[in-house]
Amino acid sequence: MLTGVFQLVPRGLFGPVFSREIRVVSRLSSSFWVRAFYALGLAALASLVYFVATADIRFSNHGNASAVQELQMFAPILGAFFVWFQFVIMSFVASTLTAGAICDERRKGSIASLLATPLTPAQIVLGKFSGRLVQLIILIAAGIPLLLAVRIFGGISPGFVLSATLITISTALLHASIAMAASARARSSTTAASSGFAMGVLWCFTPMILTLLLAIGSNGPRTFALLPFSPYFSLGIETAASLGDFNPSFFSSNGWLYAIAYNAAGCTLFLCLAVSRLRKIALGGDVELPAKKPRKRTGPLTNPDSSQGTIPGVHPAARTASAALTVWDNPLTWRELRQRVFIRRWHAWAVAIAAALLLSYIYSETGIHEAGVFFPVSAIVLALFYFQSALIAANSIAGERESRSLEVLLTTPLTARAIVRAKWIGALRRVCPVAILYFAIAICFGIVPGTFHWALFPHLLLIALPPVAFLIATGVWFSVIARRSTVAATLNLGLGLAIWVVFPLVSLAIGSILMQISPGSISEEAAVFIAVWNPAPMVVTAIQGATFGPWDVIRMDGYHTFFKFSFWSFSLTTVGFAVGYALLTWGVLQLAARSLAQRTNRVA
Amino acid sequence: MIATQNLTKRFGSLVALDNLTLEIGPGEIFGFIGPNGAGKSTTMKVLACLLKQDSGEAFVCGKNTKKDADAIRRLVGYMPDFLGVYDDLTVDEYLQFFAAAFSVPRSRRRSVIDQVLELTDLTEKKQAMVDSLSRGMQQRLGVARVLIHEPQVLLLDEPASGLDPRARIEMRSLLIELRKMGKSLMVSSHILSELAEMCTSIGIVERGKLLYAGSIQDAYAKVRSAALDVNDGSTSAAPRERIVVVLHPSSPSADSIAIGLRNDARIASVTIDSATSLAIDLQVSESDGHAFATDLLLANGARIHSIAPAEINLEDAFLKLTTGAIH
Repeated sequence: MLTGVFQLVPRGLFGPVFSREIRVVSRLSSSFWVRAFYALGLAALASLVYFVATADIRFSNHGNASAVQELQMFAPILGAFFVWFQFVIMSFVASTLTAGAICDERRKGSIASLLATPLTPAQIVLGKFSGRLVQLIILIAAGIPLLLAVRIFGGISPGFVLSATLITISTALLHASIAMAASARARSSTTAASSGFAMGVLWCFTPMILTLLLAIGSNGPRTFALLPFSPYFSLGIETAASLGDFNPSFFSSNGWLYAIAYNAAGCTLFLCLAVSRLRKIALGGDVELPAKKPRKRTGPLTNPDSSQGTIPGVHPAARTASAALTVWDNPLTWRELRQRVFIRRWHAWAVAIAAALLLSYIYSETGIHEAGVFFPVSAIVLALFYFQSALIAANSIAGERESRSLEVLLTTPLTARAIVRAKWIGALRRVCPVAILYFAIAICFGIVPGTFHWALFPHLLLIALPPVAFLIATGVWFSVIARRSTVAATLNLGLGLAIWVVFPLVSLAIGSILMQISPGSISEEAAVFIAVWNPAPMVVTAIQGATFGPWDVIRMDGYHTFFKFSFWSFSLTTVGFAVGYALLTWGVLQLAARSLAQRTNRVA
Repeated sequence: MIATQNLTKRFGSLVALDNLTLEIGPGEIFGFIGPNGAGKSTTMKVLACLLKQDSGEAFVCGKNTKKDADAIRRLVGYMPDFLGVYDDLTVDEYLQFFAAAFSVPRSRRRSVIDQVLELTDLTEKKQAMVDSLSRGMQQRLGVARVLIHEPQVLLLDEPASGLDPRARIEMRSLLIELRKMGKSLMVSSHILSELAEMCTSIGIVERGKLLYAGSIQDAYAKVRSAALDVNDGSTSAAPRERIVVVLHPSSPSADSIAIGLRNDARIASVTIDSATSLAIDLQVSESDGHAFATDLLLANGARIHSIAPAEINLEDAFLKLTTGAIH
């Protein structure tokens, strides 16, 4: 057995598959651009946080000792920001890096030649895993000098740098291994990436969920022992400890090692699953992607164009089938709208029941009228909604290109605009289940029990949906310009983060600096104008404003959170918000159509 | 139906098409031959309006691919070398999809689909999922798809690749049938014997340059003539022919007969293939070649088992034209 392991590790980790992966990555100029941009981006963000945090020091007349002290206080903030930024980005990038490892080979038909070599499935999986993760390790390593540089200001321990880096690496490896296992089953790399990422998040949350489940029937948690296994919890505790805010007695100083062990166990498990699946592919000769089963027809086959009559000489049963014209005159929209959201119908039911049970449990513990619970639940579902929207559209055109059906589609006289519009509508339809879940939560746990005013529903409709439509449009556009769907998905997710997380932070930071330099140089209206385009504060304002109370209070002062709006001015703002995003969506779709037309020699 | 003038397309530093000029008439089956990477698929993609040329012009049914791309798409049926199919559709839905995409009126859609399914022998598979079909059936489905909007011109890139012999024969019959229906076909293939059987004309392309375009018979004549020119260094334009003689086992050896033959002025050259086989290049017209050659052989004591003109096939023509033997 030991001999087998000794053979597996060098030939797997650093064997021919690894060499090939490294060669391929090293030939791509995009690899170098990504590294350079990532390092520059980190440096830019760190600089910005530094300027904001030290603006007060530089523009005030405190003494040197005081300045040094304030810089020491700033270091943990920068460290925490930097660590979490890298943690989130790397978790997703890891999923996208390995998502195409096996399914792309199956799609291209090259896996058969790989399986025909004396390499074992384990060596192939390990080689692909290690080869693709070199890029990831380089990206994470690019951040370490910056994190260590923060230490110059003091206030951040080497232990925090070490623990945070190792938790980030282990979580990234976990996500990569799950995406690898998903790649052995999925039909497309985007599916593998998104399901890999979602599974990874679930894996990381599992210790926290188990702790919650174990608490059923008791007044408080029965045990905290499972919590350190969650990388999110461990990193949170480590960050809090570095900020000096929180140091719970039940969490030992080396508790983060549990999270790393848990991630390592998950990584091993999912790599074994990937190997097992690849072995099954090899033994079963199942090297090509499996054919889809025909979907069950739910109704009789009917001819919408019944004036055509019957076809003579055809068996009645065949005649019914023959007479059925199911495809619309706009065929691409028809096809997009019938794409499955869930592979199996019971998957949809399972997700719905799980969500209902979880929410029922949460509200049974807190009480149905607890308005405070709605904030995190709404935030999580909204984040999931946006995340799914960012990914789903990225597969539209690039997915067709990868499955080599785009060329055939482009031989038709369909205009670029018709193609783009159909893809956009199809992606919108596929995010419907999460949208339904989001609004069902708002209605069932907010409006019906009377926790929130009914006005929350139209406000949420106007705030939550238009950015999704916009994000899907940008996804389609990236899908046109990017060669691979995973690249399009990463770009789209990056754009979403940039405009709704980074841009507001940068705006606030710049505003803060300008205010320090010259108080009163920026009006409050300008700050509101910048923030109002962000769905997060708008949703918070809508929920806060609709918290039930006397109508006069809601009408006059309910919407005083980030902004100072009355009910009617906020309602008007949400309409403006929706119209603004609708116009942006329209513009991006035009851009996508133009890009597609230019690339495919057709009428826009 | 199809014409290109100085068509040039570059991918970075690679010249995929280099001033390619060709013409294909109505009702022709034009076999497009060339090594891998010669520019066949690029030419077809330019004609199908999927690629824009860097310079030169391409016309389909008199319409310019640069200016009338939308109109050309309705006139052309293009089948790529790799058929990427929508794996979530049945055969029927797949064809309905493309019928709708080509704006085939609803009133005609059903009958057109039934017709193309019958023509491609896929009626039985109507309700099967597209990706459950065998490779041969998928190729036939590809042909069915390109016929759905009744195009005048078909561009078929390697339609027989990956097919078994039976499927290839069926595909060939199908293409001949399509030609009978009045369609012009441009077919690229590596199986040259098949092209020879169905094509009315061929084009041989290498490194983006068109080496030959014309009828197959002209190609053979060119190759035959060039082969003799190469052998004797002659530049004579006189008609030439190569005959192959198989001697009876009781005949004197090929060597001794060859000595006598070489003394005759009408013989350009004699090649001894084996002890009982000779290849004779005659420097005379085809009409009287056989008669005098037989007399000459008998006069030199040969006992003939068989005598026939040397076969030149498309493979020979292709090899000679693409290896630079003929300019």
